[in-house]
Amino acid sequence: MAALRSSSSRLLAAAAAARPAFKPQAVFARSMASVGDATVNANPKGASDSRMKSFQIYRWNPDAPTEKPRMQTYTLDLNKTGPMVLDALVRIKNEIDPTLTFRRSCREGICGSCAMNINGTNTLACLCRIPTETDKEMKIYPLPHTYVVKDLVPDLTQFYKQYKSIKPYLQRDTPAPDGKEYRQSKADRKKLDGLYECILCACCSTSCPSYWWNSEEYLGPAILLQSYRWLIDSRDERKSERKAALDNSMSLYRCHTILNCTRTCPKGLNPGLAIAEIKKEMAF
Amino acid sequence: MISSRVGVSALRQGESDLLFWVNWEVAAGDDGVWSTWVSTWSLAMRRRRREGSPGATHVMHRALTSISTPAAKKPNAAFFSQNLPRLALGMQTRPVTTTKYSESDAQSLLATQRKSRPVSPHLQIYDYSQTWFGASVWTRITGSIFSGGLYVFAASYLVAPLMGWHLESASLAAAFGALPVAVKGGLKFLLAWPFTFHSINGIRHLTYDFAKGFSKSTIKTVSNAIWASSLVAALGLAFYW
Repeated sequence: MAALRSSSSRLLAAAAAARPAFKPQAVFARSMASVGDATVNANPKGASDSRMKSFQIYRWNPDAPTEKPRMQTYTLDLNKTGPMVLDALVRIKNEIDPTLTFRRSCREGICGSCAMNINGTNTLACLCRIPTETDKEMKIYPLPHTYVVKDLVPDLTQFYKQYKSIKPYLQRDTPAPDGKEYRQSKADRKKLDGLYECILCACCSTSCPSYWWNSEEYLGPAILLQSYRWLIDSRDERKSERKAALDNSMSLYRCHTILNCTRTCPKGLNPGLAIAEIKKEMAF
Repeated sequence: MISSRVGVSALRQGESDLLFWVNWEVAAGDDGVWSTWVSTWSLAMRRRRREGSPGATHVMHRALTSISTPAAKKPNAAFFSQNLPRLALGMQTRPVTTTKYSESDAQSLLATQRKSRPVSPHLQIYDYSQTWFGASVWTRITGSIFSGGLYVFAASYLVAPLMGWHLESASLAAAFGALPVAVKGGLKFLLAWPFTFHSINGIRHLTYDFAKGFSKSTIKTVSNAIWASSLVAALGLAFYW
């Protein structure tokens, strides 16, 4: 929210907090910390010590397709910007350049919209802190080796098609024994931990060199993790069909355990391990 | 306030482009009522234009006087009485025009856009420690050095008698023995390091097949250990063996 707040309203808020006697609740309420007080205490020196940081951002405009993609530098005062990279992007869009284009929605790491390459690794802009040292520039690119729709927006059509291809839903032939719901033991439910949390942000798939070169046929870490999520589900009854669909040289076995996926996952999941478990299931 | 805004904008737009208004959005007001009003109004404008086509200012004047008369029983009356203070305070507008495409037009536009889309940068920008200096790619490189080297040596050994080369073990050993110690060690290291690295990392990949050693911290420590141990072992092979 700090990014959405203009500097003038911030000053007003600070001024209001400096005169607590005029606020009716200050008279009646007990002395509890308020947001206004906290803001004043956090930055006692005021706005005089600005911390300017440069952000280099990949730009490409589909309306001028002959122009080459370029890097554009924006400079922001970190004192007036929220802590996360998404805050900086939103502030750039609001205050400096409204043509900057990126996807964002939840700003809390649950929608996966703001996945991008920040300082060399893929992550969610909303979960990535802006490094506080101001001498280094930040570099922000779209997800690597994807077709760029505009600026930081990648075309994920193929990614979603691949997700659809693994049939990401429960497949059963037999009805539930009690006619109500498909029950599962606690141990079986536990097997889904670390898999169901995946938000399909495509950070891992687009970090994988193998996926860069073979994305037409290789499913990539994210989709394989989802595939394992349905393979390991005790309620699913199409395990053999699911395994047969992966039993070729491309879909699964283009994974060479490079493990960029595990290193980059912004949700702390382990696609590399999930793929290894699939390979193990296929082998034994 | 409103009348001056409307009049000025309409003058700027000219009579021919009255539909411009349809694309305006009122961020603070009730969008539904506003757009209904706008479309009725613009329709009325077009009718008037067809009938007599007076000048734009004249049309505007007539339109505005009809708005300001209280006799209006159109839906816009309620809208204005409710929203006039808000609108007068500062109407927040987004002067964005949009174009309506048919399904086939949209598809062809998408197709042309897809043809011109660039591929985002990858090897150039991704964290070098994971791509260029990752253990995985070096296993492949060292493996290629050995298999490629084997093919090159075997092929040249095969054609050596025809070409008059001396690649027998005895002559190679004699040639190697004549080199200075540092060069000997260096050459041996160039062969020893790929061997040690490929072997040790190969063992790690075998453990991967048992789905072991995938936690982030293990990946990091084992990678460092492999780089260090392969270098130490290669130096040992090159200079002490």
